[in-house]
Amino acid sequence: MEKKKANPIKKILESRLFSQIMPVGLLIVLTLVFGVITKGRLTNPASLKIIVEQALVVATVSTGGAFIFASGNVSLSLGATTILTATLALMAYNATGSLVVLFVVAIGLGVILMTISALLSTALGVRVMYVTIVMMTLLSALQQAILGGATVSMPYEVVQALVQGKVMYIGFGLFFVVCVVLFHFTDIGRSLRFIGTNNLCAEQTGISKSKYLLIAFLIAGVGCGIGAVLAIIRGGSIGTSTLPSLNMDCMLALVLGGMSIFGGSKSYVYSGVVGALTVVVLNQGLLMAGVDSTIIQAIRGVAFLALVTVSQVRPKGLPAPEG
Amino acid sequence: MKKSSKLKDILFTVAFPVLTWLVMELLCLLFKNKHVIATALDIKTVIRNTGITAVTAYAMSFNLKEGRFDLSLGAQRMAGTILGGLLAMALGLSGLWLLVFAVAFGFLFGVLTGLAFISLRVPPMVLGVGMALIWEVIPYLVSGGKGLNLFGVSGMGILTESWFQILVVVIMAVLVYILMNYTRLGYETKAVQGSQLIARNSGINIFRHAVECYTLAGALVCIAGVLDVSFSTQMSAGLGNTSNGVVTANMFAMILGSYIGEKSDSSVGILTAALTLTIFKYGLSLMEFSDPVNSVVNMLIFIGFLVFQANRHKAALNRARKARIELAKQRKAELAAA
Repeated sequence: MEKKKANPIKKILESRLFSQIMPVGLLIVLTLVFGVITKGRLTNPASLKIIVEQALVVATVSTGGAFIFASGNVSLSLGATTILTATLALMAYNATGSLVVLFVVAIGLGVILMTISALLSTALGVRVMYVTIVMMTLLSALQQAILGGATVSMPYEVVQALVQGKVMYIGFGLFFVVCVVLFHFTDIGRSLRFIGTNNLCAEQTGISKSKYLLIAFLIAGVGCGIGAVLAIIRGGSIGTSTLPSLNMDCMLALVLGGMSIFGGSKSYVYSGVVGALTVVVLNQGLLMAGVDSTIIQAIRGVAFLALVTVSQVRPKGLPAPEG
Repeated sequence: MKKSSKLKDILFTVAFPVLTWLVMELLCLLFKNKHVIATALDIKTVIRNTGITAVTAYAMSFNLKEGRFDLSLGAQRMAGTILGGLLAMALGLSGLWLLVFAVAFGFLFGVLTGLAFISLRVPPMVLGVGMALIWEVIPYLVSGGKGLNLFGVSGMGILTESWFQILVVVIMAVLVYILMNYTRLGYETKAVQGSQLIARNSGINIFRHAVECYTLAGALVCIAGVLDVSFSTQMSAGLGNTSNGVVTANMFAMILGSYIGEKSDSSVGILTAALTLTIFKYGLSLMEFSDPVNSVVNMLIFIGFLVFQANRHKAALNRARKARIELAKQRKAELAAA
């Protein structure tokens, strides 16, 4: 029997090393290319600082979301959860004037909302796809119902104090370090990746899918809570038009950051950070290069689909729950 | 026996809109001293909203029945309707042509999305996000960001006529009924719904089938777009993946319609569900619930319904298990006695 020769390009594309290096390489290449095109305007320290600050909210929320994606599930309600949480946390702050209340309400509410999503699918058996879409619509409507057409604001001096205290960097940094440890050095990350690789096999070896999915949603909830605080600090106010595309930006960031959309062993917790930076570099770079902002959206769509396709193993059939 | 079962099924189907109307009528009379449907305008509004909801739900059903949720449907609806409208206006043609052009564009966007799905083979929700980003750009660029405005445009009157809207919705319902019950597409849908893997192994071309589903969904969702714009007279060209809200809001009608359709047919079920939800929403707005609060109430009920759907077989399973245990005990007692 003649053995079929493996396609070397396919082999490289499907290798673990490629999936680890490609997103970081893409970010570096994009930064350098746009640095040259914009004659250094994109790569000067002030621009780089803006890029990092712009990416922080998406990076934080999608770092938490990586736990859900690793299990082979997709959540579209991360953005809606974050914005509703930010609205209520800011209202709680305005009512009490306490920053402790702001943080506690934000993280607590993020966790509660994501736990509800998780319980609907794990305990009550509703399909994750339905849960995520319904929650996305419900939470957005809830925020509109609470706010009406108004916006809630934080006093300017408080925002400035939080910015100067580097709360954004500290909040993100702490959460990221905890997530790296949980995802790459504990049973939680291993089990979630195992579930994403083969959920039947994982359950047969004693891993409780419901339990780990609930943990993934809880961690994502903490990410939404911290992301909500960062969104408040960055904007100073929250309205119905705040971060309208956060749901999709998180998914975009995870995919551009190298997260396998099917979850599993090729899932990395840093994907959200690398992806969020890539999205901002792409947006800012194209804008500085004079590309129309409408066209940039189409370029983002094409880049998103191209990267998803290149970084996944193409199934023989069509994607379906049964494989 | 057969006749009484059929009557039961009809009563089950009719009960949804009738009971909803009764409840909302009671609530409106109690709290606002108003009737849910009191004037010709109320009837017109209910017809139009039922039509939009039903046609959008039909469009979603082609893919959702097989576990695919196309997140680019909203963008296809927006792009098809705006491009169709702009073309009809540029050529000085009537509203009927707007509908024809919109369907043609929807057909095109549907085919392209379907081809992208079978070529790239990425999960449908992920594909939808990417395709929506691309489709949203087209009407924005073509209309210069203005979208479509039919206000004061002559020849568009036919689109606002109730008889025309009813005709379109009935044609759609009959078309979906025929497609799902008397054609290869319907047969293949049922097979893929059961198991895509088995369907493929038994010779069904799942790739062609998926493209057909996407194509029909694209064409149908643009009809809903035309029905919508005919009343509101304008459709804005939104960016940032914001176009999908109008489609996801109608998911309840599709899921409830599939449930009602178990006793009749999914095309009848979806139409009934659309009428039920329209009456419910209309009643809430008469009670001065704002749009977001109306949406929150609807979504909460939707979640309740999803939980019911996911667990409704459990009671029957428990009963069957208890009966099995009882039977085993009886048999054991018989054996012991012998």
